[in-house]
Amino acid sequence: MIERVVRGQFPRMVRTKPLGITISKKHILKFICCLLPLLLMIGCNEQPKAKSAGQKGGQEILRIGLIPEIDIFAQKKRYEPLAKYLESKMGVAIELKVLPHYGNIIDNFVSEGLDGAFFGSFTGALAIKKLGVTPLVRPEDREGTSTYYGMVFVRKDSHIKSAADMKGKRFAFVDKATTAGWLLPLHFFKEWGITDYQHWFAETYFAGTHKDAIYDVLDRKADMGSAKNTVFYKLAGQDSRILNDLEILGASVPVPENTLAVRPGLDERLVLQLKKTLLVMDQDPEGKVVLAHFGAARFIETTTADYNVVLDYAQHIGLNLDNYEDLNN
Amino acid sequence: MKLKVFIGFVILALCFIFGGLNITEVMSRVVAKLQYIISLQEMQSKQKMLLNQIKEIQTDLLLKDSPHAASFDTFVQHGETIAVTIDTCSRCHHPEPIAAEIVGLRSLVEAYQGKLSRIYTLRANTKRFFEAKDNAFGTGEELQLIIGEIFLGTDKKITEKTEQTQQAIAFTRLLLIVLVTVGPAVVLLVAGFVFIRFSKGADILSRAFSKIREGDLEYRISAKMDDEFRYLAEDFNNMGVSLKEQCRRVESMQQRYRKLFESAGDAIFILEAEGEEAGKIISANKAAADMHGYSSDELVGLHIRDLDDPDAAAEISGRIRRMLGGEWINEVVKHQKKDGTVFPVEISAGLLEYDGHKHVLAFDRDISQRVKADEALQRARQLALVGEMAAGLVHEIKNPLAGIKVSIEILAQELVLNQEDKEVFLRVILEVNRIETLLKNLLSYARPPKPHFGYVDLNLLLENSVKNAQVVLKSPNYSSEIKKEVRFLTELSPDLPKISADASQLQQIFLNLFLNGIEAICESGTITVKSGQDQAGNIQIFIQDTGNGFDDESLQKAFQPFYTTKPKGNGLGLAITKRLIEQHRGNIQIVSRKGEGSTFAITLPVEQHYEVSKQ
Repeated sequence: MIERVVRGQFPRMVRTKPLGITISKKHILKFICCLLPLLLMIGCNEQPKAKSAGQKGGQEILRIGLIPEIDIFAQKKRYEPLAKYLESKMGVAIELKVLPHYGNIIDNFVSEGLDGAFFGSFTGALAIKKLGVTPLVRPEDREGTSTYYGMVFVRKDSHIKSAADMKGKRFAFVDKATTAGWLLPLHFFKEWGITDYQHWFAETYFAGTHKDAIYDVLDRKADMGSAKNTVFYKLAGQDSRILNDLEILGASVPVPENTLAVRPGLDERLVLQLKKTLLVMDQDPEGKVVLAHFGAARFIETTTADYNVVLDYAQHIGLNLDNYEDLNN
Repeated sequence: MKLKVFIGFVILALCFIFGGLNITEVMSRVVAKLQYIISLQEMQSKQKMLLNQIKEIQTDLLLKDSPHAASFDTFVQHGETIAVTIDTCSRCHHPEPIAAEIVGLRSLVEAYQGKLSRIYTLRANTKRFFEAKDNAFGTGEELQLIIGEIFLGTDKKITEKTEQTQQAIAFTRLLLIVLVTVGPAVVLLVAGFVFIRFSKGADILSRAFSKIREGDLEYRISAKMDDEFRYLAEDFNNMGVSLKEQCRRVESMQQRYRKLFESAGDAIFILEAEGEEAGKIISANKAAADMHGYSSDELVGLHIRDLDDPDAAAEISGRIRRMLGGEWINEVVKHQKKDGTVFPVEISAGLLEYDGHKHVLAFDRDISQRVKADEALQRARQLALVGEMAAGLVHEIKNPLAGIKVSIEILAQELVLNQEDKEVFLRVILEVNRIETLLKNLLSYARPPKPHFGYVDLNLLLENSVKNAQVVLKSPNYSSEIKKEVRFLTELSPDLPKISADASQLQQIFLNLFLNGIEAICESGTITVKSGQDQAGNIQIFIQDTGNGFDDESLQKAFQPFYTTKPKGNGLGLAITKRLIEQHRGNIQIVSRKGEGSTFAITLPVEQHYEVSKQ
C-alpha cells in the first residue's frame, strides 16, 4: 500500500530493482515522515465514527425513542445532554429519535429500529404488553416524586363546573396514547356520566402535546383540556396566566413518570450498564448537572408492577390493551 | 560628546519604541477593524443561512401533505438547524442591544419551533390544522422579515466599517511609509551628524599628531572644537608644551653632558664591549684626541689597542673580560701618541650598558707631569734627608772647627814664622772660614731660624738691602775677582702698607737675590727692584736682573738645594731664600730665559697668623 501511494506521489523516484530502479532507505524514511502526519490527520477525522462503532457485543448505536411530551424540538433538546452523558460514560453512541405522536412509539418501535424509549405511562404499559419491553428506570424529582397525574382543566372564566356545563364545548386531548391526555379524561367522562363524549362535546381533538393542550385552553382555542401535572406546573412556573386563568376540575391517581424501557434481545450487559449508569448518575457531579438540566434529581428503578395503576385505568374505561390498536386515529 | 551621543541614542530609541508602538497600535486597530468586519460578515453569513433555513422550513410547511413534502426527520432536522444557528449567534460576544435582539430572536425561533411542532403533533380538524399552519407560517415570515432587516443593517454596517477600515489602512500605509522612510533618514542624519563631528575632531587630532611625529613640537591645535574633542585638543596642546619642555631639557642635558664630555680634562672613551669589535672606539672626547695627537674623528673607529703600547695592548682582552664580569678597573698603563711618543696614563674603566648593548666607559688621565713631580719630590726628599744629615754634621763639626781655627790663629800669632809659613797659616784660616760659612748656610737651610714677626716697612727694607748689596759689591771678594758694574734701580710703590714679617730674614732674602743677580751679570748690568700690591692686596716684589738668565733645566732646578751652576757656589742660596719665603706663607717664581736675564717675583701676605710685636 505504501508502495502504491509512494508511486503515486513520486513516480520517478520509486523504482524496483529488476527495472533498474532503486529506492534508498533515506527516501523511504523521508516519505514516511511526510506521510505520517497525513495519516494522523485522516485518523483524527475518522475518530468519532470509530468511537461510536467500537462497541461491546457488536452494539454500535443505541437508538432511543422520545414521545412529544412537549414540542418535539424542546423535547429532543431536553434529552440531548442525557444522551451525551450516556455516550461518554458507556462508550455507546446514543441516537435520539423523536416521534410526532405518542402512538407512533408503539407502531414504529420495531420499524425505526429503536433499542429503547422513554415511554409515557400509557405507552409504557402498552409496550410491555405488545412489544415485551423491559422497564428500567424513571426520573424522580427533588421532592422524591417519580410519578405524575393527569388533570382536566378549564378556564376560570368559562364557569364550567359540571357535565352539563361541558355540553357543546371544545375538548383538547393530548394524544390517544397518553394516560393524562386520554385515559384520564375518558375516566372522568365516565364518572361524570358522559357516555358519548364525541357527541357531548361540540369538538374534541388531539393537541399532540401536553403543552399545546394547556395553551389551547389558556388561549381559548379549546374550552377544556387535559394534561399531565408535571408539564402543567413546569409551564406555570414560566407563565403565571396558567395558574391565574385555569381551573383544575379533576386529577387522577399517580402513575409512573416517563420510563426508559428497552427492547427484548438487547445485550444484557449493555442493558445492565445502561441501567446502572442512570441509577448512579446522581452521585456523579457531571451527572448531577445533566439531571438538573433534565429536570430530575435522580433515576430510580422501574418494574412492570409499577404500571398496574395504568392497567386499572384502562380496564376501568373498558380498554383491552392486548389488542388496543386505535392509537393514531 | 558622550552625553550628546547618549541623548541621541535615547532619542532614537524612544523614536523607535514610540514609532513601533504607534505602528503596532495602528495595525492592531486595523486588524481589530478587519476582524470586526470579518465577524460582521460571518454574522451576515449566518443571517443569510438562517434566512435560507427558515425559507426551507417555510417550503416544508407549504409542501406538507403534498407528494413533495419533506419527511418528518428532515423537517425536524431543518427545525433544529435554526436553533443551532441562533445558538451559534448567541454564543458570540455582542453589544448589549444586539445581545437583547438575539435573545428576542431566539425566543421567536423557539416559538416558531413550537408552532412547527404543533403542525406535526396536532390531530384535529382541518380548520385547526390550517390555523396552526398559518400561525407557524406567519411566525416564519415574521422571522424572515426581522432577520432580513438585521441582514440589511449588518450589510450597511459592513459597508461603513469597510470604508473606515480602508481609510485606516490607507492611513497606516502612509504612516508606515513615513516611518520607514523618515525614520531611517532621521537615523542617518543623526548618525551622519555624529560621524561628521567625530571625524572632524579625529582628523584635526590626527593631523596634529602627524605634525608632532614629524617633529613640529611648536604645533598647536587652534581650531575650535566641541565636547570631548575640546578637552582632547587642550590635552594635546598641553602635551605639546610638555613635550617641548621635555625636549628642551633633554637637549640641554645632552648639551651639558656633551660639553662635560668634551671639556673634561681626562680622556673619555666609549668602546664596544662585546662581539668581534670589542675594544673598538665608538666615541672619544677632545681631551682624548689631544692627549693622543689625533682628531676626534680619527679616533672613532680605531681600536683601543692602537693607542696602547705593545705591553698594554696585550692585556686588552683580559681587561675587557674583567669589565664584562662586573669589575671596575683602575690601572696605570702606557699609551702611545700618533707620533709614537709613549706616555703613562691612569685608566679608570668599567661596563656601561645602554640601548640594550654593553659598552666600556674608560677615563684616561695623562700622568706624565705627576710622574715627573713625583720623581722630583722623591729627589727633594732625598736631598732634605741629606740636608738633615748635613745639619747634624755641621753641628758636630762646628765646635771642633772653631777650636782648630782659634788654635791656628794663636799659633800664627805666637810662632815666629817665615812669610811662606804665615801664608800657609792664613790660607788654613781662610779655608776654615769657608767651611764655617758653608756650614752656616747648610744649617740655615736645614734648620732655618724661627721668624720673629714684626711690622716692617718693606720699601725701607728693600732700600737698605740695596745699600748692603752695593757694599758687598764693593767688598774685596767681588772687587778683587770680578770687575762688574752693576746699577741698582728701584721702583717702589709709596703706598705699601707695613707687613708682618721677620725683617732680618727678609733682608737675607733680598740680599741673596741681589747677590744672585750680581753674579748673573757678567760685566755690567742693572738690577731693578719693584714693589707693589696685587688685586688681592698681597705684596709683590719683583727683582729683575739683566744677567745670563736660566736655561730650562736650570730653571726647573733653581730652588733645589746644592744645585748650582757656579764654580764656587754651594747651591743653597736660592733654596734657603725659597724656604724663608715659604716660612712667611709667600711664594717665589722665576721668569727667565737664557741670555735675557731673570725676574724673581715674590708674593707675601700683609698679615701673618703669628702674634707680632710692634716695632
